[in-house]
Amino acid sequence: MSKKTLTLMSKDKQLFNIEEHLAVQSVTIRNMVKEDGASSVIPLPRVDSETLALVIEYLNRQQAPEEDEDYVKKFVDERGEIPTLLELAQAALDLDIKKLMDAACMKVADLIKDFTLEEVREALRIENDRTPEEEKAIRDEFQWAF
Amino acid sequence: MSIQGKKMDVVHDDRASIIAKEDRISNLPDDIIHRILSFIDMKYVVQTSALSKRWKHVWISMPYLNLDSYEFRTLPQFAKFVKHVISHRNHHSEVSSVKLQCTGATTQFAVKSIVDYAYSHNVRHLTVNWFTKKDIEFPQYLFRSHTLKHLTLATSTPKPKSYKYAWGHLGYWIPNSALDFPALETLKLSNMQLCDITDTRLDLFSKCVNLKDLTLERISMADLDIFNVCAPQLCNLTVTYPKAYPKVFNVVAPQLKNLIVSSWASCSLQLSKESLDSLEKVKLSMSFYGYRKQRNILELLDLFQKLRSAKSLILNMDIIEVYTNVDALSSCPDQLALEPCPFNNLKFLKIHKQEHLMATIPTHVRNYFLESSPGATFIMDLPQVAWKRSREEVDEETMANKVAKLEEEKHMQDEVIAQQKAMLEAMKLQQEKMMSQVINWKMVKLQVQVAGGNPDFELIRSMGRDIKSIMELAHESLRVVAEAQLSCQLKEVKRLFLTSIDASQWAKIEMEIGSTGHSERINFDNMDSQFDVPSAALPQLP
Repeated sequence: MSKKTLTLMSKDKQLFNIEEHLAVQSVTIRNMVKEDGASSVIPLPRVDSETLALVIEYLNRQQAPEEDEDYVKKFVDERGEIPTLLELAQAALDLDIKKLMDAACMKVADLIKDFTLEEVREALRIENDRTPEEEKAIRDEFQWAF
Repeated sequence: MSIQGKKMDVVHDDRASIIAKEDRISNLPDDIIHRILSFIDMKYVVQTSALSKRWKHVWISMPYLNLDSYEFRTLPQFAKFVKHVISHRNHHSEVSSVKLQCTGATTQFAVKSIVDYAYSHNVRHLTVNWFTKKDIEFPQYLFRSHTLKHLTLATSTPKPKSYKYAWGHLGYWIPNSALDFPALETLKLSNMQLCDITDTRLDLFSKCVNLKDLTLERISMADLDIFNVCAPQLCNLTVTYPKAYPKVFNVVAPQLKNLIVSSWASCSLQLSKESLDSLEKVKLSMSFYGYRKQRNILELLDLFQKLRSAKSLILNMDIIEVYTNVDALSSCPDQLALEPCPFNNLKFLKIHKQEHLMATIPTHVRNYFLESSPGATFIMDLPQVAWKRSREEVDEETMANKVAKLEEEKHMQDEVIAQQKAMLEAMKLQQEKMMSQVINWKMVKLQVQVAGGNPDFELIRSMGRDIKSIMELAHESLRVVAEAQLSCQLKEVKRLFLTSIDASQWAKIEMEIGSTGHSERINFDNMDSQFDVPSAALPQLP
């Protein structure tokens, strides 16, 4: 019996093949398959090819169910760069792959957990677009949390 | 691990390949930012408002609230924080989960305002971990919500070491009225006391009509005569290390599939008749005190009778040891011999070994469990490691994990069974191939003999012996196939070389090889006396 294959297209127009029974771990794809058989190419306009390759690697994993939790943790640990994790989280959100999304988000949270605000800005490359006066005003507004 | 998805067609889009390297997170949807922040305490989540203009309002629509009084130097500071979070929050955004860690009876007001807020915003997950030095009764407002699906209520040893209460302080009471959670699916109660001042019967779950998972961890039910678990949808019941049992622990759960009991002694678990019908997996870990052993055995025998429909049974070695010594301990010496094997549906029996206990299971004990289920898979797992792990699992498992784990374990067992089936199938196939090849090979040799016109009957007789010996070893279903093949091929040889030798020689060959020439089936049984066959090296099927 030949297995049905789906094609996913990243935002930079690269095409990736994946067997349908693995692809439907994504709730988004599962719903598409249910609705129209998803015969054509499935476009993922917010996912770049590097990230999509990672997602496909994750979907193709051959883990026993009881090792799955550990696997997804290790999978994101090995790709512990914040930019990669954020792209992964975005892809997992669009494709609705809950375990991957949670693991990626948790890893980001772990990385910034003990950081000061300034360190968080640095790690996430957030530009402080407030003047010192404006920032002080915010800290005063929410002083009960600082 | 290799990437199996292949790049098929590469079209470069220069605009798209420029990926913003800066401040990616601020451009992500709030869903992702909220999920990241869901792993962080609310105090620091509010502080993110200072990061940049974009972040000022990120926290006010957070659907996940983690509140911990230990993050504040004083309890009034925590109370003030809670008040502000609630008043600043966007009341139109959903509250999906609330985790609350609090200490002290003085935080009651703050706790009430969080719980009220969460319940009025249709919260689905609530986790409360409470520390206090005083004995308190859990407030009634905790136990009424029409939307709550998952509740974990735990008390723990207070964090600072200076607290005088050691592990096991049980100064927490669940109120005596039924919990009013019509939507609740999973409930975990941990380290507290269930009792009732007015009545010695407690029926906590009668209004939890959708309860599927119930975990009672380190619970004391000492003052109760009857503790009722009556839940029509209950699938999974876990009772681990209770501090004390009630006189009767009554379970009425017609959908009950999985039962896990870990205990320091046998439990007086009364399962109703209905609770037995769909029971699939039972895991019992018990440790026994010497002086109670006799009573424990009788209770155990009784319990096993009730668990008779279980398909999968996991026991620890302590139980087996008590069982082994049942004769010595019991007032009626032949107790076990008289006791019929209760399990007639068992597919899987696993015994967790323990280092300090005996290493093997006596035959009569094994028979007791497996007599009526000959097809069951029996596993003794590795000493200590698995046992230790199983205890940790019990302590650390969350409700959600547990459901998944139960499913996984069931899946694993199915896999073991499937693997064994596949192995048997493979062996059968292999044997069939081998038999077919042996017959082919013998027929080629026979052709050589008859084609020459002067067959060596001694050689032909030994061929017949070889063929018979592999036939004997084969499974019956394969033998029929092989006999048909042999008969068919022999006829073919005869057709091709009929004129090479005369009719009397053919008759002799047919006798030696075993084909009558008239029947498709060859009866080897008649020739038993002629051959003394050494067994061939073929795998034998059971």
